Amino acid sequence: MTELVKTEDLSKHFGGVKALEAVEMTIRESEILGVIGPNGAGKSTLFNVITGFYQPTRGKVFYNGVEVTGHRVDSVVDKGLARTFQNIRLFDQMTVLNNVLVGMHLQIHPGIMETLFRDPGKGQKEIEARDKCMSLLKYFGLEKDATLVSGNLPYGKKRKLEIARALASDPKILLLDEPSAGMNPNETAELMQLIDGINRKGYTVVVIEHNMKLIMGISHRIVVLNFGKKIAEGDPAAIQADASVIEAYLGKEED
Amino acid sequence: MLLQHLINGLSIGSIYALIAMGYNMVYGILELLNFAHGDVYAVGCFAALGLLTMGVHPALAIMAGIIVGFVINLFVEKLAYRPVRYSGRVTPTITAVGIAYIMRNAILKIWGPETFAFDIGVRGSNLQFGGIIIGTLQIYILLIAVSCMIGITLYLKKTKTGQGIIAISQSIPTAALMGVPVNRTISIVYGIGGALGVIGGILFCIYYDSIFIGIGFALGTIKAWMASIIGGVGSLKGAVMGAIMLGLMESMVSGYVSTLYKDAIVWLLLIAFVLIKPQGLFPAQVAEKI
Amino acid sequence: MMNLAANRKMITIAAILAACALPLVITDEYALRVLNVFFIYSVVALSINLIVGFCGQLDMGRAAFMGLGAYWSAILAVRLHFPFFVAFLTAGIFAGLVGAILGFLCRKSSFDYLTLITIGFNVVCQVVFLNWIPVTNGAMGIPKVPVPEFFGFAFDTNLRFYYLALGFLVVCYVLIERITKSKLGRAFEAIRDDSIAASYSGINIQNFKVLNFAIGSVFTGLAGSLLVHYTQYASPFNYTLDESVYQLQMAILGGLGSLPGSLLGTLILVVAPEISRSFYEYRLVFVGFMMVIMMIYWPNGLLGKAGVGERLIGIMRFRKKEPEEAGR
Repeated sequence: MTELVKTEDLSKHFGGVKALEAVEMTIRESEILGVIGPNGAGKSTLFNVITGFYQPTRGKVFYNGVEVTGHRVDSVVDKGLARTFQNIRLFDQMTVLNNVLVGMHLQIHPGIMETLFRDPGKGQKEIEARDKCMSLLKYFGLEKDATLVSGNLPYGKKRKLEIARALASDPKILLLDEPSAGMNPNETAELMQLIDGINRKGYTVVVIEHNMKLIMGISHRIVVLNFGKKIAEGDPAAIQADASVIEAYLGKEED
Repeated sequence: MLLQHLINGLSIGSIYALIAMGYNMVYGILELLNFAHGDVYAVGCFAALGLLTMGVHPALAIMAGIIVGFVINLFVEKLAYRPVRYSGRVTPTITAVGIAYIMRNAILKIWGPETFAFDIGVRGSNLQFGGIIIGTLQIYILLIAVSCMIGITLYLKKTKTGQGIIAISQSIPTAALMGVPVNRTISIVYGIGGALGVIGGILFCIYYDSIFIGIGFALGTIKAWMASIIGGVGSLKGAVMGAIMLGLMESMVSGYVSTLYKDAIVWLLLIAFVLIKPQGLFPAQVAEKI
Repeated sequence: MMNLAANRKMITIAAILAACALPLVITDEYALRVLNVFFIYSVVALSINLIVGFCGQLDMGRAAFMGLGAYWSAILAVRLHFPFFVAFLTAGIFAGLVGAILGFLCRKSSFDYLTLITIGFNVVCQVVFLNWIPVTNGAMGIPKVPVPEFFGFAFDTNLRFYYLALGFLVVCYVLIERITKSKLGRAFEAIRDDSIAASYSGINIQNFKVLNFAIGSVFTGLAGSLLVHYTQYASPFNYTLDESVYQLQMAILGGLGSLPGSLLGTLILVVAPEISRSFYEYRLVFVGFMMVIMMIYWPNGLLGKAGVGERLIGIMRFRKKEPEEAGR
């Protein structure tokens, strides 16, 4: 399997707080990688550093063997990464369809002529993009909400829309930051199927989660962080048996 | 000559510091770009002027002016800012612009655009050291500015309300959960901001022996912004340092370059400054979270 | 969907035709003059809407860019005897360039800094207009700016100018509308709603902010130029901060993010001071109160979301539906 993303000695310090410390990990093509760890273990920081939102204090990030450390977010995204957020971040005043169209930003190249001298929405590139977005919305069961303002959607649909928007950029890797937060068991089960389906379509998926049932159920491989350090890596069965993981979650047994 | 410019710059800078402090206090806590700051305290200064012309004792008139500034800001906060507190950035800023225009036009309606003498009977004498003239007035201004700064810092650090203010500046929901009375505390912040502004404004009037409509926006709000740009928006220390640097800069520019273009040059310097240090000298320490 | 779009087109064409026919009814020179000024200021309000409403960049110094366009055009036409359309078009380019430079300088700054710097820029421009006497003629301003002229045809009456200004507005409106409904406009709105999510959608925030500022400035500059050729006089006192705030209110009143709203807001704020002398006197107080009240009760303006316009449409739809449902 090819390594899509590889980090070397990746560290991020905030003042004295070592949010990430010397993390070495890889994301392999077409896997589902779970990232777990107790609160404040540095999971979100890991996403933020890999995608260029934070500059690492030390260390490097490679994408397909090319170093992307210090690149701006949008240029990292251009390489083929897309993400969702722990606290949903939609374009609240825009319609559902336009949210997904923004996700296609890097795919649409209408040019000045089409922008200024065609009726809005009538250009060839626009029509193609719209069709693609509608089929994405259909896949997520949102096609009937296409013209609604996204800020008014119910919570579960917002989560789905965020994933749809991320997929619209046709990324190689999809990063999901706590996708099941605030969901009931039924919704979570549906989400698991959805993630699995996305993975089967050929997307590599990285999931940060607190929901162990979800993460153990869908991940091919799991990375465990604690206090900014990687303490374990392996398949779900191995992680469940790992002493240091149990210790991180439950604390050390006193003698 | 250079030393003289330095001293003039320092004393005008300390007035700016008082104005900028009131401004930045509100900013640091609520992130409201308070357009109305200058025009609100100008109302307080004019109220003091009104009392002075009626023959009220200067000390009483000044006290009354400070209270007016405090009270107006309480009302403005309650009526205009509270309803839009959680509506993003653009909305409250525009509301503040609206308040600024209401206040300014109220002053224009009552007092008109003329410049009035502002005489509280304190005559500064001049001390001479070599060729340098230092007015005793300038020394008083510096002393008042410094004691206000120390007072505010102590208030924030040592009192319960002060700690509440700091908690609110970190996170309103968390502060509310911890039992900080959010609305009342925010009102107090605005009130103090207004009162500090009036103190600065009145010192300004005393320094120049006169008062006119421009002390609000042109000489107040705008200078407070300039000071904040230099020092870092939302930082109390930054506001003071920025204001003093601004005073020095102005005094140097008008002394050595051009009086006519003073404002334009100072703004251009600031725009250039933003290019180099987009967050000011002392940026408020906020880690961007997602 | 198709139907709605077709309808909208019909309404637009009908509105343009009605505007063309309006001088048949309104022959009063004074009223024509007010309408001409309204057309030009509408473009200013539209440009403000593009910057503030669509991209969330609170620019408070738009009058400076009007002034830049106006002075550029006046100097070119009066001093250097360039023909109108050269002065006019280059004024737009000049204002756009200055906008791009200013936007570039502010590209890394936060929301607040941008607002402060646009104000500072307005002050700088005003000082320069007033004091750079060899070029701007100082407080005297530049008089005798020639009327617009195309190949010997001079727009020298209010009626003739009416059609020029109307054409100008229609072209600018259509262009701005197309921009807002394109990939570009979506990127602007995305930056306004959530700049972090926007950058994760691959949008280069800094470049798009600069672009937004530059495009808006082109339109403001063009409007400034056209107005100065109409009034035939460039005065340094027309491009103050108060003026900027008044123009901002035009965009706010109608609704940030709503292009027809900008026209309505401009209409109200241009016509009202002409109708009532006392409104003129108190216009800034009125603007002050309106800003506060609008932001609290109608943050999206008269024609924005949940504004008067939408409510009216809602009422009409409701009435239409009733018989249908009763028939079922």
